[in-house]
Amino acid sequence: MAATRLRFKEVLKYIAVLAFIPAIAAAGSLVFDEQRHILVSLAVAAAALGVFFLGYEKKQVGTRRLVVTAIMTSLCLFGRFIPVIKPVAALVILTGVYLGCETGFLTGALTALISNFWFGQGPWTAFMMLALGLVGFFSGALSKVLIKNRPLLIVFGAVCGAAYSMIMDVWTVLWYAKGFSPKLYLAAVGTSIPYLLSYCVSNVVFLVILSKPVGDKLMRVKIKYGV
Amino acid sequence: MRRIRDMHPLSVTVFFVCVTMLAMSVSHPAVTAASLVLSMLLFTVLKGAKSIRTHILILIFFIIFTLINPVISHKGSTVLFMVNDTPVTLESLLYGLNAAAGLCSVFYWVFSFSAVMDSERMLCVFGLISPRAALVASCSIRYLTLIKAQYRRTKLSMRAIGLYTDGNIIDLIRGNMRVFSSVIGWALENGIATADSMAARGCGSTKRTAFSVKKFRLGDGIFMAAALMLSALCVACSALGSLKITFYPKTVLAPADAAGFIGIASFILLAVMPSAIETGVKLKWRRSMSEV
Repeated sequence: MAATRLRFKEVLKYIAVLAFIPAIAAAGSLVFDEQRHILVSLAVAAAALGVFFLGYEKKQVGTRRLVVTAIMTSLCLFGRFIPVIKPVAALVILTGVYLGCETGFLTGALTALISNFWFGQGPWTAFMMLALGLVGFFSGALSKVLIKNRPLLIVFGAVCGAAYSMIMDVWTVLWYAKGFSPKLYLAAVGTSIPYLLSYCVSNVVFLVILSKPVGDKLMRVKIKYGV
Repeated sequence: MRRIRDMHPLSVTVFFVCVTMLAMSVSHPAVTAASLVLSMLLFTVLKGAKSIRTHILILIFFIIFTLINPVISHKGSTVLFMVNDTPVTLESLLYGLNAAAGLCSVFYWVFSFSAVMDSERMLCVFGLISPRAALVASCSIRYLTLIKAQYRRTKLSMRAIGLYTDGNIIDLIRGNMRVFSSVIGWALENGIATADSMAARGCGSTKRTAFSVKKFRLGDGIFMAAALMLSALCVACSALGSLKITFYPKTVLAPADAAGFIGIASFILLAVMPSAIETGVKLKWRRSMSEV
């Protein structure tokens, strides 16, 4: 009985989210004079983050896991201060792979939120939080495959770097043109190729270097302390 | 009345979210112009003489943003001149100007927001949404300083025993990686001890609540309610179609009517609120100082 009620609640949650997003999209296009993709996408990003954080509040999470999440977040923050090649996404990926979807998402989202105190807060923070959070979430979701296969993990890191850069290009286009236009998007992707390469290269480099030591340490904490 | 800095972070956040969203979504030139001027005013009031560098930076952005559109978009019916057989139109220039004013005003709003809110205020707002995630965030800010200190310490001791050199780039990277790896181990181990002592003091035994020294007072409530009401008014007027502007093929403003006027007035009132409060408080302070 309890299980079915739980599942019912889960289903309700997804329905709420799925109904909410088109509702925002419809309201956005009706209220403002043009199709305001930027408002809609910001509202969707904020809604997704809100749903996650409210769900996280409800869940039973041990104190040890809480603190380990905080530590992985601050290691990512520390990494964001390194110039040009940054281990941020690589660390988020490793956190997701070894500690699960939820911890991965939280680490990514909080890293974006807190590091923007130094790099500048703005409407883009919501987008960065979601993008980096999703990197952590997907690495957690694919954890069973990635944990055993190191080359695949590195390829996944490169893909994540490219995906992150391209998601942020969507933001750039929305920011300038308010609505989405494929032509401008291609131009934005073109101009951000150096960034895309730097993300890919730093993810690959840091996953090659860090996946063994960090993975071992996280595994040890997981086994020894039951995080 | 208190200064914006001393108000409750929640009402400050609500105000800035409202005004930024409106500045991004309403493209009536009166609104974008008002937004640009008033956001600039607020930033200057908040920062004083220190704001000049930001003004110059944003001016450069303004020029770039204005010129991008006529370069890439050749829609519009009024051709100003031809460059290499492609027309540069008045409409696309106006569109660029309007978009640049909107974007630059968003920059100003965001910079003012950062000037008012520090990480403690931000965590106060975040704690209202999710106390547990706010705890994780504040722990990680604490650990950032601890990790920095430990990094320096580890590096020094590794150099002392000859494991760290920065003679060439390979050595530098390898040395830093070794230090970083050791710091990760230390942080995780230290974190477990911290977590256990937190658990021993009852962390996680009941639902978490967020603590903040900031009290939500009447003035904060009035400020927040005013911000919400004025932006709702502006959104409603925009929904009626009175704040419409079309650029292509010809620049056409929606005919001026009561709704349009109310929409613009409510936006101006909204945007002028913080600067007015700041200036009012400053004047009051000066007056009471001169009476002493």
